[in-house]
Amino acid sequence: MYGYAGKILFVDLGKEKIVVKKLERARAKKYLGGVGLAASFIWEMTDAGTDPLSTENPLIFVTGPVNGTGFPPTGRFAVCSISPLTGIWGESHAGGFFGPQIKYTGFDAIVVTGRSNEKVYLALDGGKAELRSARNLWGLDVLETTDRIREEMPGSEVACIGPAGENLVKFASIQVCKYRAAGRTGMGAVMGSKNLKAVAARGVGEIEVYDVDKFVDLVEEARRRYTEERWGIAAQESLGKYGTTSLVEAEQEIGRLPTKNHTTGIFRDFDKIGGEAVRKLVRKKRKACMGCAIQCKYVAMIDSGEFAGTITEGPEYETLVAFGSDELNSRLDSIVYANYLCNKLGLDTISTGKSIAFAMELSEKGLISQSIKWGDVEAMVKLVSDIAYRRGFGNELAEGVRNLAAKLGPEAEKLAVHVKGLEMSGQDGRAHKSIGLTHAISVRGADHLRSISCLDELGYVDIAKERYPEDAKVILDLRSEKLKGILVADMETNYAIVDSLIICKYGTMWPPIFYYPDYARLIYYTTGFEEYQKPENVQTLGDRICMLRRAINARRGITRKDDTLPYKQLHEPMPEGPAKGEVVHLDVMLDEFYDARGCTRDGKPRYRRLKELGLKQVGDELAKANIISSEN
Amino acid sequence: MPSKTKRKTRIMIDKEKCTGCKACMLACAVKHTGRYSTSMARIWVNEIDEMVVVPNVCRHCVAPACMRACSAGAIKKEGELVVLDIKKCTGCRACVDACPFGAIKYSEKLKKALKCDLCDGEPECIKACIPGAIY
Ligand code: SF4
Ligand code: SF4
Repeated sequence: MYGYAGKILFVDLGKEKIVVKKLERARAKKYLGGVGLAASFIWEMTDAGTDPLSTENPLIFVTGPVNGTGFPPTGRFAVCSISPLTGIWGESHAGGFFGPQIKYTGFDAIVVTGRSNEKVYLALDGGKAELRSARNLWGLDVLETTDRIREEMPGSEVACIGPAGENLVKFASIQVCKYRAAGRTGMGAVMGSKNLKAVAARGVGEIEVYDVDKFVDLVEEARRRYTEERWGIAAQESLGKYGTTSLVEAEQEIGRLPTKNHTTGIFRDFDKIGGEAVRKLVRKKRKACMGCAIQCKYVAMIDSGEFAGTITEGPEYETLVAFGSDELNSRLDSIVYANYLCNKLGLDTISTGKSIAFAMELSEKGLISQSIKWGDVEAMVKLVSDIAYRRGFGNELAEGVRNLAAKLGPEAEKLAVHVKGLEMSGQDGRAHKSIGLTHAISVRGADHLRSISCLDELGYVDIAKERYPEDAKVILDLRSEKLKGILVADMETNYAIVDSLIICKYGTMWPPIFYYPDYARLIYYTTGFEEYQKPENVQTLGDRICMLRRAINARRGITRKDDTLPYKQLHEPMPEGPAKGEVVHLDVMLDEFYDARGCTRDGKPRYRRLKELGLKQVGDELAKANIISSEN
Repeated sequence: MPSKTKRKTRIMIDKEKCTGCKACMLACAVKHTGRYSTSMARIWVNEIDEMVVVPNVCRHCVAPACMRACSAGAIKKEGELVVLDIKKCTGCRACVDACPFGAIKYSEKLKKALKCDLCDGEPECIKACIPGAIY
């Protein structure tokens, strides 16, 4: 099958059974790959009660048809499961070089179930797949584990967990190529619960695309669009030069830089941790994911002071917020060091930093006995390790802010910044209404990357006019709730395609270079699936994936009441800056979003819409369980 | 920007600029095989550590060691290029050992040597390299 490796690897760790199955053409066509494909398996393999850390919960490493080809960027993969942090659909993505290697070893996806009796790692070498002992690797950090496996398998790409995953920290990451994290939703804990330390892949396979001449032309066109003319130059000047770090300055300007556990959107010392500071003080070398034309990654190094000698692939914007502004910490070197520790121990930087920020506020308000001061670098660094090793108060934080808040009571719950149990990424709906909606409705919890709109955030006037000729002005109004339901639903569909191909959000959101007509050509030249020559069919495909993920969550009890925001964003007006006085009025946006998505006003998938999208069986099952009605 | 249109007789390397993205390898593979892979590329990228990544490709030497080593007469100097005639190659790997730069690879799949042919003077890898590490 063009674009695909054509096979799926099923690994039952308990029975030590490895089975290779064909990727059926019908399934590939219906769900494309990536999160679409993973959602189809999660729907079939789990039910309303599947415990995330049980043997039944599948952990799925998945690629899409574009991965391993030359289309920029080609290095991504996703890992999906029921999340132990949120209890619902979990998905996490990483770049680097691991995804293509899975395909070169002959597989589009690896579906892992069961729990191994011994500590093991999965080696995919050439066409072979085998479980090898990880007794000597257990307890090692991510950097050591990767090095050891590479000694055994030179040239392999390694995805592994660190101590945090072994200790089932609810927001443990899976690290690939050492410094790239599939960070969100605790996929590392699922891996740890299976006694699976790593997956290493080294392949000699080749990927054949449907129309290689057209595909090569499209690659060249993409490269030009990423580097030349208005948007290409914009991408190189921002992402190419600064990575995501220059967002610190951009968000400060619109008053949306999460500060002091998301209390405000203004950080006085923003320039000490922003893009310019990073460039001047710690950025040493530009790096990139496989086949990328934007090339936003960089190596950071600390030259002097107590963290001198630290070297890591550098903090992204999200990490600068999580360990910087959100903790009132203006010491860039300590942020780089905390990032390094998270990479090494296998922790999501967002959830880790935000948990610590939460602890700082709890301490300030006297809701815990520990003294953890705002901006206390020493306490921060210690807590990162304590979380990974579940020591002392770190053990409490390792359960995530929702669980800790529930233990402490309603006052603490007001300060807990999460949605559905996922600690919030670095945005604030009060200053950017559409992101408020995005956080509320995201299928994996308080996350921006399922449907963030940069049209309003970064002011892409021309693109807004192109996509919404009548309503561009309203769409672009950052602080108006109007039409944001429609905008966010479209973004969610758009990114469901991006996450199934799998390509990157950069170039699709910032700047907005690619859209449905581009995906249509890309999917067709890659796979030869005729129907996707039409952009509207690509859109339907995206809708199908969005609704299937939503159905997985509905089955687990998610309704409108869960599509909400932290107390602060709904009830405490933004205290300062351009968005001073604003809160998020969620209800109007939710109604509009549900209508656009094809959900009832209660936030559940409509039977009718499921049927239109080819998900009748899903609808029947939800109806049978009395979750939805087949009348709707 | 170095000119991308003039016919190349050599690929120059500026390893400081290399980000390790492997776009060059993918472009090379698809040009020569019609498929995407890293195993069939004639250029590759060695990751030494976080800070050092080195692209490696044939230098098209004036006095090629590989040519001297090849007893099948499969490697010839044609103008400024060093050309491998894949039909004559017996897969003995003498050239792989002889090249002082390690710029020839052996393909398990083809059971033959893999070597850069400069794409008729318009190397695909150069077109793919965003930071200009090869030119
Ligand atoms: S293969 Fe090696 S020895 Fe032969 S021409 Fe190229 S660089 Fe020189
Ligand atoms: S394309 Fe350029 S930057 Fe990328 S690996 Fe090759 S030489 Fe290095």
